[in-house]
Amino acid sequence: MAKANLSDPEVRDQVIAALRKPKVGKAFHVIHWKNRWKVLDERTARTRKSFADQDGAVEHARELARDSKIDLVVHDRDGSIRRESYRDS
Amino acid sequence: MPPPTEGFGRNVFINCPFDADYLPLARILVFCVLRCGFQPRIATERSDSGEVRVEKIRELIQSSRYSIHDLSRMEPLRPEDLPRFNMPFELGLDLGCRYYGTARLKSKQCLILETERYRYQKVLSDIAGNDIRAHHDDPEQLVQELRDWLRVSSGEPLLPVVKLWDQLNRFGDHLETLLRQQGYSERNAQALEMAEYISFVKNWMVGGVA
Repeated sequence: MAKANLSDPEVRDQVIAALRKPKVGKAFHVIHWKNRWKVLDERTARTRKSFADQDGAVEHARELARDSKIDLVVHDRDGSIRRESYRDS
Repeated sequence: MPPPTEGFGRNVFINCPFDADYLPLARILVFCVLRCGFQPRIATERSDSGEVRVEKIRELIQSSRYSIHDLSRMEPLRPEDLPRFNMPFELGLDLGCRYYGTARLKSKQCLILETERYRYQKVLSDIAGNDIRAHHDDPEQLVQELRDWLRVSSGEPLLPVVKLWDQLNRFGDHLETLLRQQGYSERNAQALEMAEYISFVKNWMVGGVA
């Protein structure tokens, strides 16, 4: 594989950007939308299931995250985000 | 003929407040405009102390076919203050540009946003005939109004609103993680300059969004 030419500022910026990418992998997300809480699978960008309440959605997403050994990300309505990792479980 | 990819026909001037209270909504507007394939033009996109503010606004308005005017924060920040006149002033400049401008400028389209639909008709009755959309300070409603307006105004197929909402949330998680990894404090992350925010969104989009 050819080595990146780091003396080229554009190439250097691209390499730095790639290195700075978060090393978190994909996750299940719990997201509010139009009075429902849905569980989104980031790997497929599809909704797996939706719930009337946040607790039900979080519980379901947590099980899926545990089974898949990936993260769970809960998006609250105020914009705050909390992440739980099940990668080592 | 395919739509242009840059320039006047892709620019969206965003006229909104820049205070911390409104910042989350301003970032939502910027994200959605970018993700729909347009270029947000906003007064805070560049910082040049030597640039006269009204001249910058004039340039942004003249170079944008589309514009979004959020009048929801016209009220004074403190009870003893006067109302904030910048937003309606810039809306007036934009409408004037359309009415008195060249044929190209007459093609301008604007979205006027408010918290509640008829709140300002009493004090800004000159725009009573315009269709003002209400977002009720609800981010989901804001995304819906913006996406639907851009879809109709541009005539272009855009992402379904629910996909746009999902991506906005996922980007929020991505940005938070990225800023933490880069050593930003929570305070610095909240105070992220708009130009930097735009750059993060663009980089994320380049990475391929499902």
